Amino acid sequence: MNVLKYISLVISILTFGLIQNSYAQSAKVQEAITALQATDYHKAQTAIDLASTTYPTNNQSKTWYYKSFIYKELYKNTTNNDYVTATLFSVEKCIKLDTTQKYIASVKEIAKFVLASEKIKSTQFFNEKNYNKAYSSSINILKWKSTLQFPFPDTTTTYIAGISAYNIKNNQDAIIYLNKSIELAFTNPLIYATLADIYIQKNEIENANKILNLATDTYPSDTVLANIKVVHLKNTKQVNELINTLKLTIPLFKNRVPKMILLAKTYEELAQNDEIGKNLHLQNAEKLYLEVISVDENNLIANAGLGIIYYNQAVDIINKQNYDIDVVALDQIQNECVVIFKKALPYMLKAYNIDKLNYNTLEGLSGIYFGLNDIPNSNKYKEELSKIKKK
Amino acid sequence: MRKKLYILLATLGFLTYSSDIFAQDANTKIKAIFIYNFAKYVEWPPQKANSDFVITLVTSNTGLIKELEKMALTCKVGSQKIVIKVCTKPSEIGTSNLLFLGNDKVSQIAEYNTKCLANNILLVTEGTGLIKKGAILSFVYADNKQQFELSKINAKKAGLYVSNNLANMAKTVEQ
Repeated sequence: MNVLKYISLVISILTFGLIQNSYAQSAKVQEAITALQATDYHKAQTAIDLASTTYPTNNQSKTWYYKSFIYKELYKNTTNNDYVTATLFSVEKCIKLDTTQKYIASVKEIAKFVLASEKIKSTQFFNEKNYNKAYSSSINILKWKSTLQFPFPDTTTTYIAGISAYNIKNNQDAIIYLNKSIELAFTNPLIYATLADIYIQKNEIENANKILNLATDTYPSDTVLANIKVVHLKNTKQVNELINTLKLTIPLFKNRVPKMILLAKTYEELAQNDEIGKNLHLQNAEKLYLEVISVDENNLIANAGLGIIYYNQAVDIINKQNYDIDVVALDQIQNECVVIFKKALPYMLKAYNIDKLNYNTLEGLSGIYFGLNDIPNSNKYKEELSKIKKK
Repeated sequence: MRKKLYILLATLGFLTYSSDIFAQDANTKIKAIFIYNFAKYVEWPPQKANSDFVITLVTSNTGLIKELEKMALTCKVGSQKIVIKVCTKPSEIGTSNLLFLGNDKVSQIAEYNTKCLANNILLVTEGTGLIKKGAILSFVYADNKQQFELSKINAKKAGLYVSNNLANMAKTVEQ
């Protein structure tokens, strides 16, 4: 009997203790609410922190709702990032515990507010070129939006994360977020330019090709993208693709001359490795140089380029002859070549007058005069070239 | 950012161009074709037709030497195989058919001419008026072309016969 009385007494004490504790914790939540109403956020914070770490209130959605609300208020008055995490963590807990869905709509609004404010900060960091902060802040936003299952993707923040990652040399993340931006149809040519630059740096030629093709298809009139593609194709010696790209993009540029010259040079390069198409490629280069000269008569490269094309044309005619052609035929060939050498001469002289120290021009002039069997003039330019080389 | 990309473009060398390549000089090829034609249109005494056709070169023009060596790989004079020799003094010329004396060596024409006359050798030189000094054929430049002067007199002295087809193409013919 005594034993039973003893047990009953213990149970009563324990039950009373639990009830008392429960009351005490509920009182803490109430205390937090009261402090909140009095806008004493720090007192509210202390009370809600205790409630959220003690049974049973730590398993109640109400506690986490108030905690998210209190921390949101604290966040509003400071830039402390810990409040962001605490608010959003509380939102997450509340959503998990709120089986009756009493608080879900409200906590989602709290999360929206905090994340929208963070997005403004992230954009500010980005605009100020503080890429380290812009990166960490944007990554945090994206992480929380994913955790809280926000229904719509955040394209701007994804873009900021990608560009910021690139600027802090985190190319791995830059590739992820920039590709994600493209998937989300975020419209900014810089995404393509940046991704292309990363692939080029990593020497991933195929990826660079893919992104640049996509870039120029998406933004056919963007000259920066066109330039990047042209440079990439030139540096990776993708000659045919370079020619096609230049043909398409030259009309985009106000100053078309550099691109026309590059195209002409590319045709010349192609001619060197394509015996069958050689003449056609050289004709294309010739046309381009003549077009350049029609708008810029003092263009050194176009003048020298034409001089060299004609010079080589004459030399090729002679060099392809068999040794057993007769003297009469040889004379006719020489006549034909004299005409071509004379065609080359004014362009090469013009180039020489534009830049008297240019190796190619001096070598070309010496060669043309030699072809014309004007040995004194040929030697004159050869000597000039030799003097320059000695310097 | 765009500015940065433009700078990037500049550093990638957009405005630099690959160096231009000039085709090899064609004058040596023309000279080689002429020399081959000289060999075809000149007749040597029968005793010179039984062995190789020897072209001896006295010149520092390495381009021409290479061009003629290339020619010798594929061409023949009649049934005679062409052999190219390079020599530096008259005593080395031996039993050549044709001797080419480059314009840098024409000061020695008299010594070479003596050897050529004695051995039925066609003396070919470079320069105007050299047929007056013993050359049978000499390259000259006229109208921006390579042409040649011919001395039938010197050919006869060397025991050689020059075809009229060749004479008709000469700029000057000394009969």
